[in-house]
Parts: sequence; structure tokens; C-alpha cells
Amino acid sequence: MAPGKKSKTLLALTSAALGLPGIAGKAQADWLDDVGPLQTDYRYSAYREKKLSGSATGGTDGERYEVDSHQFHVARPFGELYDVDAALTYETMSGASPWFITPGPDGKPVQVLSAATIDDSRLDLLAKVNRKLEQHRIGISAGYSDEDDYQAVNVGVDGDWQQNEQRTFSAGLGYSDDELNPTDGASTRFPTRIAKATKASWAAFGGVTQVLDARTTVQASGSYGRNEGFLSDPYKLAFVNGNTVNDSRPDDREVFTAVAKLRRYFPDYRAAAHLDYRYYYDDWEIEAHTLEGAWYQRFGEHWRISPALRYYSQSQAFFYQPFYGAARSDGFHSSDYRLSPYGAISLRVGGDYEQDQWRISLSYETYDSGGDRAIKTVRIENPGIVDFDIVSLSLAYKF
Amino acid sequence: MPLHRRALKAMGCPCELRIYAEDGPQAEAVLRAGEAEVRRLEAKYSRYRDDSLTARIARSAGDARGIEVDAETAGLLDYAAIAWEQSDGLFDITSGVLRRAWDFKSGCLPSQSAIDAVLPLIGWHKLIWRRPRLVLPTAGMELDFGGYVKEYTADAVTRVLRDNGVQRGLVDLGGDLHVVGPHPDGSAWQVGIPHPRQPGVLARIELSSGAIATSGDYERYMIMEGQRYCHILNPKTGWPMRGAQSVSVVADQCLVAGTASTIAMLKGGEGPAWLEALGLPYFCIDAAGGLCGTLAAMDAGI
Repeated sequence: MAPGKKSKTLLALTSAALGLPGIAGKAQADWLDDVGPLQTDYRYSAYREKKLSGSATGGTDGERYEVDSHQFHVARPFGELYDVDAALTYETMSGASPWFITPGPDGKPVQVLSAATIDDSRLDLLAKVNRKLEQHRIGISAGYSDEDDYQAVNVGVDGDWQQNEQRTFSAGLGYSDDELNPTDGASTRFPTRIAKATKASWAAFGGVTQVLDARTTVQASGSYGRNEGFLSDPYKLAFVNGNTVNDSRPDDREVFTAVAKLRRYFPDYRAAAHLDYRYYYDDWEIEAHTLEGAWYQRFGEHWRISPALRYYSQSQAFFYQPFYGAARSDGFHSSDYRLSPYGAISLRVGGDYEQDQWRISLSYETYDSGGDRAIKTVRIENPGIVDFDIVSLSLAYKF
Repeated sequence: MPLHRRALKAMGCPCELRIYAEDGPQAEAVLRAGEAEVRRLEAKYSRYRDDSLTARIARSAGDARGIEVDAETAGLLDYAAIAWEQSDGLFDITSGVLRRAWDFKSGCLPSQSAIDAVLPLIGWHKLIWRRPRLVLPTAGMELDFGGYVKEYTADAVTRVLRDNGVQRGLVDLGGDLHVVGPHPDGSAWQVGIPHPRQPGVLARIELSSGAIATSGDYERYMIMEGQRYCHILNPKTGWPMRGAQSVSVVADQCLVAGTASTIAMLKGGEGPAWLEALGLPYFCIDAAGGLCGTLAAMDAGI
């Protein structure tokens, strides 16, 4: 053989050849050793609720809630059959949140915010393992969530079955067990606040994805779930006939959702359009609709911009009222804005830049809610409904 | 130690597996395993079968979701990406669509408009390849593994034979060869380089290890008005390259040898200079029929 120094080209081709299982050997393809690409990403989100105006608080503007969230995520395949996904989320929350509503001087509801500024942190861990078998995939997941006053454990199993090139079915089951130990529970300050409570939830979902043609995909799915246990908010009160009582909700809730999605790709424009509709109904009689449209546009080799618009409307829970003239016979009272009727519009703009193994994403969302935005007429808008902004920055790197 | 052989027709050419092994039945089992590996790769990457991966990839063209590929295909795509880069875009596995314009059996040259019609579908840089997901953005695009899968198969079969304990033998897939090991007496295999213009062998090379692959302008071609048009097509213009009649390269892997010989042919007149810079032993028969290259000196004569 003629001697000669190995050129860069030869080295590049040789090392790429050695990456092939047929050349490098069976041992390399062993499921533990096979080095698949390791994907990592970090995401920071800043969630800022807009101040509650003085007209809603019957006084000065009320500062509301802030959350700073850091999420670390890793994903890696092992061999040809398995892949593992893990995420760690760390959040710090601070600010005031709605406490109870009182009727104001003119009968208009006035929001009273919690006096103490909450300063809390949350740690969340979620791990998932997927296994591929021919046309199927099965995954199991487990997670743990920890906050000063709240711990939860969840497990889930889900799978996909690709019936043919055009159709894939998916289904899953999840279970979550939560324990609340509210701050200042059964204390001298809040003697009627519960000290400890538990909640269990489970949910099942099923769906089908159909490729209509080379550029269009549709998906339909539905879910059913049940929550049982302590479902009230231990920190909130309701104003009933001149007195404040603890927020009290049924200890059972059945939830149904149905979702339809459309994805259409426009190769001539290098863009894709997404349209999603979600219907929600529960046995607290909250019925909600969400409609979201998004456009993903590529520019050049590295950029993608995605504006999105979302519309949301919900009706109220049967036992909800901003405040009560008389106690309810079933004993349920809640003035939480999340159970009130309202609508919301949210505008989001995102940008992604991708180069080699990197991806950087930045997004901004602004959410504006109001009684007047709901589909049906809302007589009294809950003064505590929230408007917020979220700014998110994420960095992803693939090894 | 007796020599056991198995001849088969696969990937459009005559193939032969030769191994030295003591035990008769065991040798047969090993040869069967080797043949099974050839059939496996032939079926997986075949252009002619509806159920091959190549066909599935072609069907996914235009679908933004793309297709998820297995580790072996991912490795071949990563390899194709490197070969494309290192050849300045001449080695391009998206260029298979040119066969819609070129029909070498017809004896007719394609019209420029027929070629212009498929050129937009060609270009490795137009694909989105992010392991394990491959997206062919435009309907009609295809991937053709034919340019290198035969050489990869020679390496893969060698691995299968070695994993089964074979230490001496030769894998010959239509002229793309990988030496499993020299003859039991230590002597090298005599490998014939086909004559590009006449039947038979032009030269013989001795190989006791490694692999050799040959690319020539005589495999599929037509002659129009005294001009030869061969199947080695420039993906950027859609027209055949003109340069050497044949290039053979020796490397540790048949895959690398094959890519090198193909790229050298694609580079036309610059081929020999590129091969010199590459650093691998090579044998080249230039347009005039003259022999050149580092191996020309090794020619043991016919």
C-alpha cells in the first residue's frame, strides 16, 4: 500500500463509515452502548400577571402574581428500541392572589387580594421511557412535584399504534395522587383552614391521527377523567350573607374533553398552518371552548417565526357566584375566577433560530380576559379574572 | 482448510461469497447468513420494491412530518451528508430522480426540458435531516441508495462472516470486494480490474486485507454520434461526467472505497488530482486508456 498522510476527506469518510452498525460491529449496537444523540434544552419563562385595577379592588391597584420558571430537559435514545426523556422544572412564585370578593358600595363585586405576599418555590420531576415495537410504541412515565404546601406523585402509560402509513391511533392512562398541607392550616390565624388534605385524579385518553395527503394531517382525540378528594382552594374564601366562609367545592369532578386538530403544510411558502379546537365539559357544569390558530413560517436556512392567536370562552360552575346573598343548601361556595364565566384572547409570537446542533427560541404571549369576551352573556364579570404576559427563552443543544 | 463458495445474483450483479472453513455444514450455515445479509439490505434499500425503505421514503416526499428512520439508515444518511460535503455536492443521493430523464436502454438522449423538470428535485441541502427524522420537502423527491449501498453491503457481509468466526475469505459483490482474510497460506487474493472497453480483465491487484471498489463509465451507457454518455451523472447539471474510463480505489472499508471511486469519476478531469490528495491507493484508466495511479505500479500483469 502506498504510504501517505490521511487527508481530512478520508478521515471524515472513514469515521462516518465507522458509525454504521454493519461496519462497526454488533457490539456497538448493543442497546446500552449505542450512543444516540443526546438532546438537551433549557427554558426560562417569566409569567407576569397584570395589575388588578383599583376599580376592581375598590381601592389601589393590586399587584398580582409572578412566576419565574426554569426547565431543564434531556432526551436520548438507547439502541434502536428505547428512548428516555427527563425534565426538571424549578419555579419561584411570588405575589398576591385573589382571596375573596365582597359586594361593593354599589353592589358591584370588589376583589380582595390576599394580604400576605406568597413566596413559594416548586420542584417538578418527570421521566418517561418509550419502547418501539414495529408499528407500536409504548411509554411509561412517572413524576413527582414538590411545593411548600403541596406534593404530588403521578404515573402514566401511553402508546401509539401505526395502523398504516396514513393512520396512527394513540391512547393513554394517567393517575395522580396529591397531598396538600396548606400554609397556616388549622392555625390561630386561620383556625378553619384545613391542615392536610388529599386528592386523587385519573384520566384516560384516546385519539387518532390521519394523514389526508402529503401536506395535510388531522387529529381527533377525547379524554375522560375524574378527580376525587379535596378539590377546594384552601386559601380562598367566599362572601356569604355578610360573612366569609371557606371556599368549598364538591369532592368529586368528572371531566370530558374533545380535541380536533388540523395541520397543513405549504411547501412553496415553506410554512405550516395549525388549527386546533378543544371542547371541555365537566360535571360542575363548566363548558369551555378553545380555538387556536398558528402559522409557522421558515425564513432562510435558520429562522422560523410563528404568530398564533387563541380564543377561549368558558361558562361558570353551577355553584359559583361572586358573592352570595344566602348560603346554598348544598354547602358549595366559591368565587374563584377560574370557575366564573369569561372569555379570553391571547396573542403569541415566537421565533426560532437553528444552526448545526443549536436552537434558540424566544416567545412572547399576551393574554387578555373579560366577561365581555365570552360567547354567552356574562352578567357579572369576576373582578379577579386575570390578564398576563409571558416571555419565554429557550436554548436547545443536540450532542 | 477447504474453500466454500456461494454464488448469488443480487443488487443487479453476480455476487460470490468465498470462505475458508473446516466444517462443511457449519460453513454452509455461515454462507447462508452472509447471503441473508445481502438479501436483507437488497430488500431494504431496493428501488424496485414497494415495501422497501427507499419506497417508503419516496412516498413521504412532500409530507412535512417526514419519516423516522432506523439507526442503520441514519448512519447511511449521515455518511451521505459527509460524502456530499467532501465532494463539493457531486455525490448526492437525491440525484436518483435523473433516471426519469435518462433511459440508457432506449438509445435516446433526454431533452433538456426533461432534465430541467427533475433538477429542482435534486439537492441534498434541500432535505431536512435531523436524526432520526428525515423530511423530503417536495413531492417527487427521492433518495437513491444505489450509489453506495452495494459497497456497504460488502462491508456488512464481511462483518457477518467475521462474527461467525470466518478469518479467511472474500466477499465479491459484482466487483466491489471486501477481503475477510488472506488465503490459509498467507497469500493475497488476486483481484481483477475489468477492462473498460473489452470483456475480460485489464489488470490484477493483490489484496490481502481491506476492500476495493471500482466505478466505470461502462456499466450503463449509450453512445450517440461517437460520444459516450454514462450513468455517472452530475447532480447539478443532470448530464454525465466525462473523464476517466474507470477508477478503482482500495480502502479499509468497501463503502469508503466505493465513495472515493464514484467521486473521482464525478470529478471528471480533476479526478486523479483529487485521488492523490485523498491518500488512498488507487488505479485509474484515463479517457485515452492509459493507466495511472499508485496501484498501477503494483499491477501483477495479466
